[in-house]
Amino acid sequence: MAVDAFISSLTGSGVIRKRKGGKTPSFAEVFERLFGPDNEITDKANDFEDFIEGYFGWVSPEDMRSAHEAFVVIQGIVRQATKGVLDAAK
Amino acid sequence: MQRNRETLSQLALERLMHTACGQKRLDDFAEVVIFGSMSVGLERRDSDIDILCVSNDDYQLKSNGLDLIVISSESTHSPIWLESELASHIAEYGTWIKGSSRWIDDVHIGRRAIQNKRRRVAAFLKALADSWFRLDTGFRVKYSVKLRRETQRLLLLERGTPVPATKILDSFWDSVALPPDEVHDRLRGLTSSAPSNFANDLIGRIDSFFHGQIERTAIP
Repeated sequence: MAVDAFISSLTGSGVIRKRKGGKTPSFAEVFERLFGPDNEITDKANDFEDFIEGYFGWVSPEDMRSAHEAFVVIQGIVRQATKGVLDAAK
Repeated sequence: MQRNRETLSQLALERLMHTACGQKRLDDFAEVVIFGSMSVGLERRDSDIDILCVSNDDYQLKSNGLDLIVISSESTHSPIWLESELASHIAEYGTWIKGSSRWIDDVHIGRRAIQNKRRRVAAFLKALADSWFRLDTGFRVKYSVKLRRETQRLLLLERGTPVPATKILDSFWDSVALPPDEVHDRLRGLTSSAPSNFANDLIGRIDSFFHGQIERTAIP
């Protein structure tokens, strides 16, 4: 749900466009559009989506751990990518 | 599309053989059971096939077109399994294509399964109440569908009724349960302390779904 709120915020503010037909992009698509399909962050976002997909309404503890690990990598790459911008803004 | 047992069995074995564990271990599976929409002939063209295998291990595998659960023979006799939502679904709607069940007579919906579902619905509502109006309309539709289905499942479990395939919840609710008012009333109760604009929007979407379903049914 937090991921969907994140995507809603990006599409609502016009940072990311919706797909044709008005569908919202997936979590991985957001990073693909921002960083490119070959960037590690896009792979990690794909992994994250797979891990949290769950199974009959249940996500295993291993998948939760793996999802967390993927998310930490995503967070690190975003921090690194925005560092210059944030430093310049100071 | 209703398949006969033989074609269902062939399809299941083909999908299993596309997985590493299926190739290596098919002979080790004491039971192979198809469940979910395909077992009752209500699948969509893009539906995955849901398979339960009884073997020596416990694991899950999701691959192209296949959702596989492998549980050990030992686990099939544990109360956690026997009293679960999934076991009751499989016992009622599953199609055995290999072996025969040694556990379905002991299956019953347990208190834990009902409590888990209540917790899940409550957690959904709590999280949704906080972010509902920040979510894109498409996501609001998605979560209203999820919440409706989970509430329907909860109502069935509370009555000791195994949960059928999702398509039945969506299109044939009147065939398994009381009128849609029951879902409405339960959600009203559960959202009594939530912000009213959230509760009204969410329940309004769910009511519209049922209203549309009644209209669709009424069309000759």
